[in-house]
Amino acid sequence: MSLHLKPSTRLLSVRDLHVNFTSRWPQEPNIDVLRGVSFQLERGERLALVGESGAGKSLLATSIIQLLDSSARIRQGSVHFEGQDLTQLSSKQLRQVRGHRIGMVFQDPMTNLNPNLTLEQQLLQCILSHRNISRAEARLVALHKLRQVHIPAPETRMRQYPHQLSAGQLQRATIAMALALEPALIIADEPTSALDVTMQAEIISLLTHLCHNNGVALLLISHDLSLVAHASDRCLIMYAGQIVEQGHTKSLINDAQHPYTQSLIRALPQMSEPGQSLYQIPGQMPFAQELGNQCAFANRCEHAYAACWNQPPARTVTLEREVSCHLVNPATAPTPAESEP
Amino acid sequence: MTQTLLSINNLYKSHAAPNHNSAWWNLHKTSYINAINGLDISIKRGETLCVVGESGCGKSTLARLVMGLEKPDAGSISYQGKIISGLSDKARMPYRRRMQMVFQDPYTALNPRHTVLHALVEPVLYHQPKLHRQHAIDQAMAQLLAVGIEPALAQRFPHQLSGGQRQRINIARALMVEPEFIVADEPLSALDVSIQAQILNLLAQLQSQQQLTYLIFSHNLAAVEHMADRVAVMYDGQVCEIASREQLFSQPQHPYTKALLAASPQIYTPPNKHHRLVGDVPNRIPLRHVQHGCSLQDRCPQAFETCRHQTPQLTPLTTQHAVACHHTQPPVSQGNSHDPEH
Repeated sequence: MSLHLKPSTRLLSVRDLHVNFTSRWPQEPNIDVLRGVSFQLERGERLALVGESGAGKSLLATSIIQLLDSSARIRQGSVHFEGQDLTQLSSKQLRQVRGHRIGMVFQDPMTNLNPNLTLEQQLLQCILSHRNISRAEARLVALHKLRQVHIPAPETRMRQYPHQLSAGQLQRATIAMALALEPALIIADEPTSALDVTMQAEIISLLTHLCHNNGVALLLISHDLSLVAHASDRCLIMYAGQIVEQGHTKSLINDAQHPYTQSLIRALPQMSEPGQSLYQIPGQMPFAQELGNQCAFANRCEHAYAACWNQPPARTVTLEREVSCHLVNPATAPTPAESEP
Repeated sequence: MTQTLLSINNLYKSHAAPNHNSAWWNLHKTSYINAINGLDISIKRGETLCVVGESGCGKSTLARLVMGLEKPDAGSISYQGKIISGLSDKARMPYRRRMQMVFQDPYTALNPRHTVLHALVEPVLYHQPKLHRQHAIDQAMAQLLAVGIEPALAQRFPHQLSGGQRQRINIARALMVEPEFIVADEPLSALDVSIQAQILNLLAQLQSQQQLTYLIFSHNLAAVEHMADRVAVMYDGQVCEIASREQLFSQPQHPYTKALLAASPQIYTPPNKHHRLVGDVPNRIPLRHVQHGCSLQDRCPQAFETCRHQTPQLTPLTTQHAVACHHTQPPVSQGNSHDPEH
């Protein structure tokens, strides 16, 4: 890290992260799935990561906390968290970070908790493995956290097994577990996709509330722009292993620059009149091994022109927006003749 | 268009409840959960009726009852005027062909050991055993084209397909036996926003081509607003509001409907915190314990005295709109409330 950055507010900084999967067959090349991801996260900030499935959102989350599959490898880049490069830490040092400094909330609360242990056992296990306090004290911490996430009658609930709670309560319990050690960052990977709209609204307002009151930073992963629109301060749009656009959520939604962001917004059902046919993004996301020397979105983009097929777009940085698109880059933007279809 | 295709009258269904929380001396007694609690709905030919509600309100049970996968405790389901809910499996066969189901999760609804072609041909040969196999294969190929899947994918297995493709195959399989009526239980909830758009367009296109009638269960209100003709809001096994799409989304009357609409994320308007409900669906009420009053009374911000002891009935407001709430009903019940905020 360079010295002139303010270390007090910067919490997480991911630089040029490349993750590849080793192929099972020696003659096949390794596949780069994350291709140069860079972003920063300040303390107490709510950052959303949006993209279709297969874009690499969950892979990015697992490579931040170094929980990658054995066939995946960080080929290049760094993940600086609170001044440490997580990619360089030993597994013993990492255990001090995971759960303790970074809490994680996964998609499906039913499979995320151990069905054989009561909530109390699981919460205490989590707290006692990181803190040198007595069981009774740990129990008080757990109760306090369950109250904080608005679980009714936490004393009774603590003695129950996961199947005795509803899905919304379970997801709140996993948030309590992620919060138990007062982490600086919570990574929530599609925390509401297994839940109803009413429960979704409650979980999102709970996470927002925690960020505002406790100064916890949030990395919220979702595929739904309308969900993150009011639940995040900044937003990253991810496509085919790269961040194609990032900026403040409000301005990004009101003035999307990248064609992919524009089409994600247009594809929402509320964006077209009832009964009319919806806009659908043509084609499919390319496989990582099929990406040549071109823009990854070129085959689905309405505005693609010659330059898009010849070279990958460079990142264009304006005051508060970063876009990777030839159209936005003044150096490569098409002349009026080229942009005619 | 005005002919009633399916009508559900005063339907009841309860499930045996697991007795986890009971003391050991009560373990031999079975308690019951009312999943469907006196429900009335009718569906006209050619329309799309969407049923919305939280999980635990009985949506999936209703879908299974309509399809005949479960038998109701009381009440009846009739299809084109004939009661089908009490029929034997054999007598039901002709109806099974006319109504088909699309399941929620496209990943588990297909047999992983069967190719796409096998999955599509199987229902045809089941309903028409004398049909030549090649005939069925030709039909399957035509159906694949109709749902926008290349016929080259017919020999693939489900794991080789994307989520959107699998949901298309599920829809194609339901359409193979040329049904008139499609029941879809949360057809979009496992899909991405961009694929949701594709499936919504496909459903609309198939409906206009083949004059299908849809009964769609969902909690995605944005999608419901897009595709429904009429919307029924379900709570605790009952319909609490039913209206045409325009009326339900522009003038919701029931507090529960208002809460659902407020919870649905909107991209440009910030969330509305005034209509928030607290707590969960009351899904652990044993049959023996008779609950008085409105089932929403504990969660409703506007509940007043009448709600505690009198169950609201579904009352029509206009020809297109019916609500079960004391607040929208004639002055007799509202006379008790001096301050509806309490």
